[in-house]
Amino acid sequence: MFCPKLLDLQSYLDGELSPRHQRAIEKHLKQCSHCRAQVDLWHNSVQLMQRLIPPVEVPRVPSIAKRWAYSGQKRVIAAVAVLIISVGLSAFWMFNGLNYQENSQDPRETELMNEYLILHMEESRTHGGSNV
Amino acid sequence: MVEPLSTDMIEKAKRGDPRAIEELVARFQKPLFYYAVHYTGNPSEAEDITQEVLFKIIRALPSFKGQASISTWMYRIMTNACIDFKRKKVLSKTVSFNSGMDEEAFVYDPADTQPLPDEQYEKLELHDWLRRALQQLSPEHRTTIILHDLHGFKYQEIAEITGSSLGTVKSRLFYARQMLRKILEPSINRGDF
Repeated sequence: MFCPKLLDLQSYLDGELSPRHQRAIEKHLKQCSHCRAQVDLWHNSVQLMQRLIPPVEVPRVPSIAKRWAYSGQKRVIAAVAVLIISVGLSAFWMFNGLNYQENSQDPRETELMNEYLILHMEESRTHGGSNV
Repeated sequence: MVEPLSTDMIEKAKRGDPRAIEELVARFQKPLFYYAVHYTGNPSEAEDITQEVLFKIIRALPSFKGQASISTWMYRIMTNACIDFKRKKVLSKTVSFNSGMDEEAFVYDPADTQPLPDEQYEKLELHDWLRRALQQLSPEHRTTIILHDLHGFKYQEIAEITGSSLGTVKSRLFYARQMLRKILEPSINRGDF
């Protein structure tokens, strides 16, 4: 008598075989006490394991729901923060850019301009004086 | 096994419908939590992992393509999270052991398949005893036997969850049962159960 492979016996126990194959092994088990003992042993182990599942209390759902809601709030807060920072940075760059433009004149040019203004004022004062 | 969710409900959850998400969480929280308890052997760790995983699942829902069942997809995320958690735990304990700070650091070793000494069995409660027996299996064997014998998944579903072939699932289940049987044998013979 040829015995089925152990993995096939296991598949039989787990109901994973085709109906034809399942029937063939069933037939074999009726004649072979060795294979029957093996299948019984596995069957008892599985039952024992299922009986020994530790009883534990399942945590409540609200904690997860709260976390999810909190993460939504966090996303809104992050978006607002990004907006504020972008506006702030833009304002800062604009302000600095203007200052830069004001400060970017050549000092010598400014000096010449000042000298020109002084001369112009003196000249206009002189001409203005003569007019009076 | 968890009752399957309707396609309509899954689509709603993917679009972020709060009621559908709540239904999904309510349906899967318990089995996923139990799976984490069976895997880690520690309810408090399992609670943390379950919360993280459910959070991850809700965020990843829009990317769920429906090629596998939602249950298989969720258990795959949970399996990866459990394996990562244990790996990090072992690494941190090994580091602390190496640094000489923690004497207990090397007590836990999931790769250790040596049976517990007989006298220890008597002191342990039966549930605790099974928990410890499961912890002695390798992560792959533990995952397979928990998914099959405790959560009722079929071979093909386990192959999808663990990313293994059908043949690998069968042989892992076979060896896991053999090993567990070996660990349980002294107590069975003593008539403890």
